[in-house]
Amino acid sequence: MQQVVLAKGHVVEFDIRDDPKGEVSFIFGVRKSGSSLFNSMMNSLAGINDVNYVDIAEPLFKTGILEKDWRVDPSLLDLLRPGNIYGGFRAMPLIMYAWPDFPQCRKVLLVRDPRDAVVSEYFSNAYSHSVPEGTSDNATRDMMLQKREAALRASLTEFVLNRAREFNRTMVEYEAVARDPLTRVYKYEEVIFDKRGWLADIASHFGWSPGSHGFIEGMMSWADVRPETEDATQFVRRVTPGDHREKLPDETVQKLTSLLEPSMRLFGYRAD
Amino acid sequence: VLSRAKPSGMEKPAPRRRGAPRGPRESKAEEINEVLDSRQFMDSKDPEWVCAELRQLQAAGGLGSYEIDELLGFSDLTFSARDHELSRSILEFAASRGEKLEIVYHKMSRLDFAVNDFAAAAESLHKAVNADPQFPFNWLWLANAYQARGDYNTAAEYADRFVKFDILPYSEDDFSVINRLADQIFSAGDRTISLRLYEYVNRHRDDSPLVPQRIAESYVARREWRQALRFLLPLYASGRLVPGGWCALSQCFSAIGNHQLAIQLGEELLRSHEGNTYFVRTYFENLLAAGEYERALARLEPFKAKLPTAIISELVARTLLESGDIQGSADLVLAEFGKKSGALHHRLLTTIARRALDTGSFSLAEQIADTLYAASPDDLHAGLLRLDVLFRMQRWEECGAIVTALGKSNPDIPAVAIKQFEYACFTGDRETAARLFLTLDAAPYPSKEFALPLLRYLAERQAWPEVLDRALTWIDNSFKWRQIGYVLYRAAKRTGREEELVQRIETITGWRENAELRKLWAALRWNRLEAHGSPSWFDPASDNVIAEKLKIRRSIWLRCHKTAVFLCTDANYLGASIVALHSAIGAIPPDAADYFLVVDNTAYGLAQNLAARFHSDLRNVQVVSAEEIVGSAAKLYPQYGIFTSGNALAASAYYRIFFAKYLQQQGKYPRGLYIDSDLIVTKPILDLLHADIGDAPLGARLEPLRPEVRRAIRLHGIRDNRYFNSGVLLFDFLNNRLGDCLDRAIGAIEDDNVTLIFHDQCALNIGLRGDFAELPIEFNYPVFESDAMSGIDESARVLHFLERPKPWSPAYFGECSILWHEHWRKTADYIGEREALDMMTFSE
Repeated sequence: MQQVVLAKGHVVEFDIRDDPKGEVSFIFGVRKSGSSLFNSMMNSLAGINDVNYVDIAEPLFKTGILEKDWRVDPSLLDLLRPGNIYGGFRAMPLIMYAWPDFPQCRKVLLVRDPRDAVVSEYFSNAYSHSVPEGTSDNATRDMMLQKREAALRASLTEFVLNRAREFNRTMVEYEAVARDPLTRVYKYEEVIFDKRGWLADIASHFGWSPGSHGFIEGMMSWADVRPETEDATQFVRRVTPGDHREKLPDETVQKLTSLLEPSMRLFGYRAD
Repeated sequence: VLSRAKPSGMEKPAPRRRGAPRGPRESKAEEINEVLDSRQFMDSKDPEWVCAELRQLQAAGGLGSYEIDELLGFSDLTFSARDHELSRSILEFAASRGEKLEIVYHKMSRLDFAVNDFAAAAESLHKAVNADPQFPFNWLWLANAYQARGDYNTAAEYADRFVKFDILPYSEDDFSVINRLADQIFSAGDRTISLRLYEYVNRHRDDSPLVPQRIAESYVARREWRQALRFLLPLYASGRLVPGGWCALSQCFSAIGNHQLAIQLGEELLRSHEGNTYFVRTYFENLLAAGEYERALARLEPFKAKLPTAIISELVARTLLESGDIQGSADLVLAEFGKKSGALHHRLLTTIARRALDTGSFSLAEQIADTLYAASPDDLHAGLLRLDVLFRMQRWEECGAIVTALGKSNPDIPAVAIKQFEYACFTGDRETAARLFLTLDAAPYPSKEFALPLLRYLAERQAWPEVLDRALTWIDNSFKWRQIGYVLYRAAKRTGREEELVQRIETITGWRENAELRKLWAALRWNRLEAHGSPSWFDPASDNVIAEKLKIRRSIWLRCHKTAVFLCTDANYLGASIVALHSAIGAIPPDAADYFLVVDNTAYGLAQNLAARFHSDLRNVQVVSAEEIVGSAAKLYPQYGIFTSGNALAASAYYRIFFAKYLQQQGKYPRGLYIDSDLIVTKPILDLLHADIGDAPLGARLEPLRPEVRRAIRLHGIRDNRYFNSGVLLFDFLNNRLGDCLDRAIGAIEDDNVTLIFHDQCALNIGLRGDFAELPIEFNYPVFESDAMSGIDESARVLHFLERPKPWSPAYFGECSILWHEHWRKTADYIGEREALDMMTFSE
């Protein structure tokens, strides 16, 4: 286990391997864009390829450290060692841009139509997101409870328009990663119905084996699950692209599209 | 005197007289402590009395009997008692001893500081650092003295000497001295020493957000963006970034490719600082870096009322220039230049002229150069620009006049000297060139570009090893092929050190993303690329010429190498295989291929006899025992097929995968062509052997999406419905991915849990996962029992009898079986009628 002491004095432990023959790789995602499933799949895939998967976000979340603090903390760079693939990110850990070797690393990035994602975020904040265990100084817990309160008080329309700018920022923060020739960018809408092919492509990008048929089918038994009907309180609600059109009036869709235009343009999402 | 007249209550022993015996414990530190202790003691008692006693002692010539540390202690006592005169005279006496001068002069400077005589303080401190440059604190005090005199640059240099020791200063005030100095020289434009001073303060004190921000801004000035981000991001997240840092952060994001974020940051900053010229400029630079030219022009509107016209014109001109409108940019600035010329216009016009030169617009470059030269004939940069234009236009007489004029007015400027050298080289004045070379090469180069004419000169003199040696240390990410690429290429070739230069390039961070370095790399690797490279390695936008040339070259290279054509069979399919083999041999020129027949034990002997028939025609057909290549590695499960109408597929169908792997491992053939037994080649197929399959490890025909194919696609997770038919397979044995693909296919065969609907074909599709190039249908044309011969497309060259029964079966009544039988007859003519009949004995 390796400890990292963050700028604010929090000490968090990670299981880090140091394999000089290996590489440092990254799995990036955006909140409410399939990142949990993506990371679970990558964890399994990395495992059978003898690569150590390190979920950066989870231990920090449990410790109650805010994402906005840790993702710019230079101490995180001390965790980067060959032989590991780092994931768990729902927003770009900006401090990675400060690492000189970052452009030489292979990366995968999963994005989703930000309009669908921000709609999903409303339901997540309001109903389904887990809140960490309460402690006296748990900033994450406080922040999430505030978010829940805000989501429950606002209408869906108010919520998505209020959150659009921030969501846009989250996505454009990935621009350098998206333009990096060593990054494979996946769109949620394109891969979610072809997870086997997606898995094979990811494996090919990292030079890994996609695994035996048995492994793939085993993974699909939990990864390829789609709810027949929607339940607003469930974490996995709808995976169908274009959900925002069903839930928002046209006028709101137009405003939302305008606010999210830079990120939609960056990742090739059409306005219509 | 002192020992005799101690006041009451004194418990410490008197200072030891010179020459008195020392105890064994007395180290240097203890000596100093002793003096300090005595100083404390004396301070707390009666300093005036001490000073009086010391004056008496000095008058009596008694100081000579004291150690240097004791004298230093006396100077401290008298300094504390404010008797500076006595203190100085004691120090002067101590200095005459020549011992511990770094301390003696340090203390003397303290007396000078006390009366604000900073020049004297500096003089004392210079003596102190000369005596011992390793004593850190004198450098800090020296900095203090120069800072007090207003000479910040010198002060900063001395402070820099101190911080390099990386020790804590005596007091908090010293941090302030260093911080203030850093601020002063930072404001004056220094970003090197200021950086080190700020880093020192930041290491030892972390209470000011301005210090890490200044560190970051210093890194930005050095274009070390990622280092700068390390300091800026925590401040950004905690909301402690002040406007200059905000601007620096936007520059960093822009430089690393996060253009939209950089633009957003700029817009947020300008909401409250729209009149700040530097911030506005940075914002527009970020827009231009993002290629947002129209947006930049549109965003200029609100600034027109708030910024000087010259700045607005500059921003418009730069936008036009970056968008490729060099003429428009030049027109705008030249019009402004006519009204009022300033340094800004000069710089901008020089940039535009150099861009015009780079793009071959010599007349525009000349127009600008002449304008600048006419306006400022004595301006060095105008002269150098004009000279560069004339060099490019090869107007040597005019060049000579300018070189002479510049040389007279700027005899010691390296930029002029290098132009004189270039002129001598261009005009063949070897003697002058040789003389100038020695002079120029002896001095440190003022820039990377300075080395270029020198390298070219060495190349002209055929000093290739020297060119290459220098290139290996000189080359970095700033390399431009246009400037020196061909010279370096020739140097590597002439010295046979291509690999050395290739390896050096591969050590440069980000070389793969640098199109200029890729060009040199590709040129050096060319002979290996034709065999082992792929056009798809190159960027279609910037490297399209390389990729296209490589395609052509590779096709020719492939023609110089034989392809391995192979079939796999058991006794049942042996006859059909021989017919297919014979048809292929007839369609491929003699020197283009070697042929292999992979058979199991049931057919090995007969296959050997039949293959021998081909040898007489200089066709090399080798019979390979399947056991040799499959070994015990695989359990083959032909019974899994469910669409074979009760006919279990032969295990030999899987041999193609194992034999392909075997051939790749052998490394003899760049390519392999597998053909099924149930097909015939009806027209020449040499172009199939050399087909362009890009970077793919395999070429094959797509399978039409019949229901059972769709099922296989779903079952195996094949992307984009890219499921191929395995009847004709063109393997690229030089492709690095092929081995992994075949291993995955073999893995699928060996995995009991994998259901292979189409047997080997499914295994191959699992292995390749869509990573193949599509072959035209003419090379694997499907023929069904119901097809009429007249219905076969004219273009078809390889006919594949897909269904069962097969055309050689008595149960097959399709018209196209006649085609197959005609080929069987031709085969019989070649191998003999008896053999042709015998080989069909086992066929169903």
